[in-house]
Amino acid sequence: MKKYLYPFMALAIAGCMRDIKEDIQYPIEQSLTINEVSGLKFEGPSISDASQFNFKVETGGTYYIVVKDHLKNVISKSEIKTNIGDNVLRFYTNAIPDGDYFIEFKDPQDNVIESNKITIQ
Amino acid sequence: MIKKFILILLFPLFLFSQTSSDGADVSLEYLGTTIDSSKPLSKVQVNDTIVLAIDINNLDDQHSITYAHIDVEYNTAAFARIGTPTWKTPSGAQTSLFSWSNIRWTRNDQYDENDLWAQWSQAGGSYNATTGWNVDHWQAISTTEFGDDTYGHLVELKFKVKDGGVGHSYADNIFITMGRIADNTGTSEYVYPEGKVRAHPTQDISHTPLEDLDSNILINVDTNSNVDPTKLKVIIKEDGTQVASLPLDSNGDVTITDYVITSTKTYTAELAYNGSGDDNYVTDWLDNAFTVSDVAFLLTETEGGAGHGDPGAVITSGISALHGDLADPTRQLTPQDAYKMLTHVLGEDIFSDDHFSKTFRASGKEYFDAFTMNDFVNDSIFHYRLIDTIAPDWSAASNKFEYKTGILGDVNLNYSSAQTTSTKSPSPNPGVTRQTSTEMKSGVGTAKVAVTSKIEEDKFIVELTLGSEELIASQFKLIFDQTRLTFDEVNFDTGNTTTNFAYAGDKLINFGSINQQKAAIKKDSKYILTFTKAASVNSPAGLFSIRNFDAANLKGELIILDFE
Repeated sequence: MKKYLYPFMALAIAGCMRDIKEDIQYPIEQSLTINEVSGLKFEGPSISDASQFNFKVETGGTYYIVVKDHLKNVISKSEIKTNIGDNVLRFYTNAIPDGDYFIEFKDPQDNVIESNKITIQ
Repeated sequence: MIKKFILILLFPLFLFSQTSSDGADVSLEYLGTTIDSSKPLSKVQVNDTIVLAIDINNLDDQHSITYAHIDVEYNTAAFARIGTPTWKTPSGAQTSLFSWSNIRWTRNDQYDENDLWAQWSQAGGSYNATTGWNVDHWQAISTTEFGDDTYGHLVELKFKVKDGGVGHSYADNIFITMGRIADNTGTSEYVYPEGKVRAHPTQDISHTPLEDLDSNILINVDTNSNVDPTKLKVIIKEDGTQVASLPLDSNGDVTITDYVITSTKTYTAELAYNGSGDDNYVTDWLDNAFTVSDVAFLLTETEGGAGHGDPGAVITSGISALHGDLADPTRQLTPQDAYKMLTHVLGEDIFSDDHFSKTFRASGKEYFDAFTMNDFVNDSIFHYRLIDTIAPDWSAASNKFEYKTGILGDVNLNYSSAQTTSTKSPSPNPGVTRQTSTEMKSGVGTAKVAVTSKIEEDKFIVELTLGSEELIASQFKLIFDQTRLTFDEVNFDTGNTTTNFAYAGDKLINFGSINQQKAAIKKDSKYILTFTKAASVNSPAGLFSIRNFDAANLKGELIILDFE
């Protein structure tokens, strides 16, 4: 019986152990690289669901992503916490009808830091 | 032995072979009418002139066709051959036509009727005097080969189509009776043998012509700019049987000339929803037309506002009143109408099924335009025409049937056709117009709404804050990414006297408030929506969007919300 018990216990202990987290810095995809100290870059002028973008800032903290339709009406707004430098995040589009949109990145004082026009498809 | 077996197997196939495989096919080819070459034979009317070709298709690669004579008989009650025939034979060919009146071919029963050479060369068939039938004998001979197949027309003919009269049978009224085809290019004539010259694929014209009705018939359905007419269709029925289902174009037009084709039958046109894919009449049109601001407007009429002040004389449009009279209906706007509307807005589907036919309204343009508040109060008939009988004036070159539309519950007329200026009542919302991706609305003013969202641990939270202290009602429709979010709840911080509502669909949440206690919804009221997010979601960007919104002030007037 013991010959089964020990391997089982070993497996159970291993399963309950916390993962050893490695703070790996993955390289940013070439298409999202921003050479300046700050900026905004999407994968392209047209994006689809879960496309990535890079919002690079000199000052980390809270910013807002504002989505406006082609008539400049606000249809969505989200708060993000950023680090200094590159912030690569995903943009989800399932809840936004296909079309042309203005994307603005604002600081808490409502100043537009970056903006871009994109097509969601 | 094997050969015998194969022959036995293939024998039935030989029996069914009606076209020659190594001879020639002769066919009557319909080429349209003289004024419309694309007009199908099934649409040919009395008094049209049809064009036919006698077509010869040479299937024998060992011989060339340089000679043909083909006989065609036709019924003179149904057709009159007119004009000059156009020979399609090579230049220099000798052509001739012999015609006989009151003659008809009696077929030789011993041979297939499409075995054209056998019909003539074998005893048994004959021409006999028959009143009402003519025969044309088309003959050509050339030193060079006739054309082939598509361009192998021996000759092109024109027939004026006639009304054969009551009880006339149009079967075989133009018919190839017999033919002879030969090759004279060699030292001796080669005659295509019996069984090898077939009338195929078309030996006869048997079409019963339609009445001579040349009126163009058009339907136009006028809609509000928030109602896309291409998502409507017209179903045409002939004596109760559907003959067409035709989508409207972007102008709301559809031509039904091809389907309303006789004066002896009854035609109806039924307007129906034509959405597809993700389109949904209830969520796209009805629930957007039938909103909390309509309730507030109707409450103002019936009870002096959602806050119950001095009622009456607020709604001045007959169409608007019709849209609000949904409890009985009694041609009276009562608090019961308003509360029934409110029930629907709060999330209970008061129609339960057949939403389009129960709520979409259509009427002849002239009736719609002329309908006033006095007509509503005096119980004058309003001609609903979601299904209408189409009775054209056949003497007119064209008939245009025009309709205007609306949606039940749309008291403030954001989804209804406009009436003509002469009957139109002053708009209740003359001030501000705002267009979004999904709709356009006009209101008396604007109110700010702050919106934001964020991720907190495993939750995604959307928060809306009203920036106005003059709103008595508000309504929002929010789409969320249902592939990544699970809706949990809405928390309302709108004051103690406000009635709140929320109901969630697969990916859309409809929520809002109405205050019926003579007070506005308190300023800085909050709506906090909580979702559980998928673990893979690392960003709030794009997880929701605001699709539609609606609000009313203390007078029940529509207010445009301005999100920031």
